[in-house]
Amino acid sequence: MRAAALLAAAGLVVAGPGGVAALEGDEAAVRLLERASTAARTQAYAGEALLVVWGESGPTITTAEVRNDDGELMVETEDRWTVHLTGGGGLVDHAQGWHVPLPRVRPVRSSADRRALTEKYQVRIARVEHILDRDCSVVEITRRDDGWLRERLWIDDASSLVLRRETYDANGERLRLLAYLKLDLEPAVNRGRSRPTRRSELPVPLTHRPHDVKAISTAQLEALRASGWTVPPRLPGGYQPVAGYAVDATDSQPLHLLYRDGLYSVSLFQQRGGLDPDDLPGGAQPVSGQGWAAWEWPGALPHRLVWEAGGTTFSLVGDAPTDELRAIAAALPHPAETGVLDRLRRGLQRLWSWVAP
Amino acid sequence: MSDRCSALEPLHSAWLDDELAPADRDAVTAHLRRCADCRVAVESLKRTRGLLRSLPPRQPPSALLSGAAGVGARRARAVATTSRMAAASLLVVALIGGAAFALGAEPPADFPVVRVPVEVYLADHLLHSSGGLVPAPVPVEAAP
Repeated sequence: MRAAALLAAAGLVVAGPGGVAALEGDEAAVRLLERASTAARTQAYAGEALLVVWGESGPTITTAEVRNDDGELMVETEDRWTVHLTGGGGLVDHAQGWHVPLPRVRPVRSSADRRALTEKYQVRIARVEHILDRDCSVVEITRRDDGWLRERLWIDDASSLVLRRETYDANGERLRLLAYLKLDLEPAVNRGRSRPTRRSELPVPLTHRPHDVKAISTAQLEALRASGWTVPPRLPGGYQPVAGYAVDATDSQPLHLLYRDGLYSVSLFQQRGGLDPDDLPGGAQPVSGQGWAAWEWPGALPHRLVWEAGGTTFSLVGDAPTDELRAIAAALPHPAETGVLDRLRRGLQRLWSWVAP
Repeated sequence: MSDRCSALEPLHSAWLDDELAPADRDAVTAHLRRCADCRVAVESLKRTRGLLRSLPPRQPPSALLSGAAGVGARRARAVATTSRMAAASLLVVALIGGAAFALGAEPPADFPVVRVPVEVYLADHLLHSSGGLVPAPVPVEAAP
């Protein structure tokens, strides 16, 4: 009943994809997105957000207390997560009992985002709607190559905050929904009413990390590529490189490459060493395509794919749609296909070596 | 009987059966028109063959039958033996092929197995992707 009430509160019964007349061109819509991106970091606000992810087994519904106070973003779900992204915070999974401290790093804003966005997508302001007693511009983001409407965002005209975001599949069905059920733009004044319910005790951190992390320079990335690391100049689907980092993860130091297409982000992690599937976090399922195979966590967001090739374990993490993430995985290194004849020849040689050592 | 008669006599039976080549058939026919002795011989042969055909069929002696059956059985045993040998050969080839296929798998890698810190990756991705135009910093896990 609570899920149904939440979905009804989020307006799922009345809002939906449909043809509308464009009010303005791409430029005005992109400027609106940029203002929204800035407002998400600078505008003080607090509220309750609803997040729904539709999967094969039905929707996964999460509510979260969100608070942005002096640039400190805190997200706490009712049942599992605490996310404190800025100011040296961390990611806490209360259900699984782990805590990952995050370095104090300024998220990268890239001028390539706007170019990548407008190259791949048509962005337009479709209409004005009223949400949470506020006037919102509805921005529609459609893939240019196939006309696939991927996103609708309801951006508050006054604060530029994204109050609602819907992601669609190729048939126009919702894949994801993020919608504020309550929003307070003066949380300092109303602190007593809207303060998130922070859990006081943190689990033992999975890893101890330095507080300051610098991005890897272009020259360093070239050196890594020359020494055998996979450093793609871009990823399939128009994903452009944004930054690279050396991840500090206690017993190893994976390489982290971040790519964006202006709308979604994809992180490619590489780690020297083999993969033990039994040691992966729970819920991993095998998935495969033409010439590739990996482990994934169905229904989880951000999506995750993990596989091993040639002594390196690759991990993709991203909010890109699964079809794009899988296309990216397929384009990265995978174990070479072994033909039956090659395998028989190798086996006969081994047998013969036993007969005539 | 002339030399010509002696030369053509072996062809009488085939002439009766119309199995001679045209040239031989014409030669025998022309000779029979001229030679009464040979016509008598051919007529005699014709009657003899008619008599043979009019005889009732006779079963071969049982001993002969059993002997023939023995030959069949030996042939059948030979065929069965050959089949078994072929099957055995196929089985050996299949066993060797299966063993070779099993042994021909990629040799185990000599690099160490490491733990994949998926949780750290998730946290770092959320942190660094939050600078994008449309950030989505709330993780979701599907219900088990």
